[in-house]
Amino acid sequence: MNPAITLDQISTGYGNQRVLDSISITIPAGSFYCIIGHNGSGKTTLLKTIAGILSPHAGRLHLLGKPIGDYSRRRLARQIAFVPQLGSDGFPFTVKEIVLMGRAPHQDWLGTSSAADIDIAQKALTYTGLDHLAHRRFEHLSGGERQRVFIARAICQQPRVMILDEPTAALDLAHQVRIMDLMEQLRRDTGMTVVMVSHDINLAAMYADILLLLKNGRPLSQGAPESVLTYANLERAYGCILLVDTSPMGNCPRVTLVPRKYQIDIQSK
Amino acid sequence: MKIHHKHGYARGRLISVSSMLAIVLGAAILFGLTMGSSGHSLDAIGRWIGGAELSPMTANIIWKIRLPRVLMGLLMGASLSLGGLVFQALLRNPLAEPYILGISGGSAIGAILGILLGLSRFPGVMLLSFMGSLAALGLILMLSSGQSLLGKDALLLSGVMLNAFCSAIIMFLISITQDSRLHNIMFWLMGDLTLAGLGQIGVMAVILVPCWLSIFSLAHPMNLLVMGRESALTMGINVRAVTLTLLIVTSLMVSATVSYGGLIGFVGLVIPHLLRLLFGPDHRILVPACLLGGGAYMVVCDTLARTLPSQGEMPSGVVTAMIGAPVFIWLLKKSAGKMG
Repeated sequence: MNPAITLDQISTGYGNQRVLDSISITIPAGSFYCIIGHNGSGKTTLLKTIAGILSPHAGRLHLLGKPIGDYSRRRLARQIAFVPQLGSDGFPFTVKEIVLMGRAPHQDWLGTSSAADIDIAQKALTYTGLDHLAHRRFEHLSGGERQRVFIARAICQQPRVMILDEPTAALDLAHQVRIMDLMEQLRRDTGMTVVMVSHDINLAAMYADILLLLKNGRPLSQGAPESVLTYANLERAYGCILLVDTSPMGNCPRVTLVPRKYQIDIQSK
Repeated sequence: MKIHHKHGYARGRLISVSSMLAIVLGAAILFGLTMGSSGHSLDAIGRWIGGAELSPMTANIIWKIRLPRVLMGLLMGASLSLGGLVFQALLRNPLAEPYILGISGGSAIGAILGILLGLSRFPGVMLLSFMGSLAALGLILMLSSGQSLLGKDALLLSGVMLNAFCSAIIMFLISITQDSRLHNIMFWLMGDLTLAGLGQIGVMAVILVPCWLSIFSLAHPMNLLVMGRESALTMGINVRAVTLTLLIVTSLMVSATVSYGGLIGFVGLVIPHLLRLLFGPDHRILVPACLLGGGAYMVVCDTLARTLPSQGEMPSGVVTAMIGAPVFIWLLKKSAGKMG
């Protein structure tokens, strides 16, 4: 498969602090790619570099075969959409207004919405199950609904790659599955490449076809979930004791935390 | 008043909101032209519109005295209100105001020095005041450029510091002034539109109108910006360029108004806030709405400032604050109730 994104010896960070250290990875087009790792391992930094928010200090970054520097901001926004982590925002836009903003890279300077733009936004609302909330104010929505608004906005950009920063953080179980199912469906329907940071290893294992495990700004392991999520890899990456077995669904690894009281129990036996 | 709009942004909405506010502005201008210390002249204006000649004295009062002042009020109110809107968007804080970055402080120091040096109001004091505000802007950009302009707190903090420092210098300058110049300084500080002549209005318009247009051209990027800088970046906005342009253009606009009319408070705080409540947060609607609404508010306040006192007049800034502060507190209570 053609790569959607290639990183060749990318190093980056904030100020003098280096977070990513000479990373080389390839993200195949159409893949569901999840980045996992401990806090401060550089997951979000890597994601923001791929999204074009952070510029690399060194190395080469290619998007769809072309150096990222060849794209203007506007043209980049037609190829890559970014779904940010949920934050609090005080400006009272409605759901539909925010979703329509995703058309910005296709519109004129005033963001004039054509009939086609409105149609695309309407379809994105339906796709993400937000029809009934279209005229509600964003600030009055729940976390799961807000996350779907950002995804609908990203869909409106009609990108080739969608990048999500911990989209299931702070959501309840039903919303976690709903968001992940939505992304899987989107990938199947459009052939879009999905790149995601996840703090939830099990959720990532169930949906991703490629996992990247980071440790201290370097890739520790990369590949199919069953090859990455081994006891040895995880203990090295996270520095804690974990059990790995197979999910009851049978086709992906399942990681279980081991609290200390059970560790003592196991050791004494 | 609540306007329902099904399709986000439509030109029709821009036109309907603008024409509504244009009527309000028209009424404010009429109010400003007919009211004055020499009495009402509503019937005279009515007859003039009907085709009759004005008496030379009435014509003189209306066209030579009141009209320049009304026009100056319009320019200043529009600019201050728009300045507030932009800073609220840039700092992502709906309670920001156009003086927040210390631009006014620098401007005031310049003007006070001008008054102390015995320069004439125009162009001497205005020029010094303008230079003061540009110096403040330069300092702010220097202080906050070490960190990224993407960090809104860097900008806000350096602005607040500079403002406090300028206030100290202003107090110092006032404390060492004893003669009649003290009255001049105080009057200027509180916002004063006297002595507006058509020449000054021309100069102000040449500075301000291009600022208005360039801000309107960035109205849609401002919508994306208030939803988050990183999001705006990934939706194709050159955040750094837009932020810097808005910052410089708005500072220029605000410093021009401060250098002419002193510190006229609350226009930049209340008007954008009120209009956002009425018409929603879309900057493509709010930019023209602020120009028209802010202009109308200032014209009315300035007219009251020169007609309410039985003798002489009071600074316009006193009226804008006396009306604006209670309105603002009411708005604040209202929006707090909505959230809860």
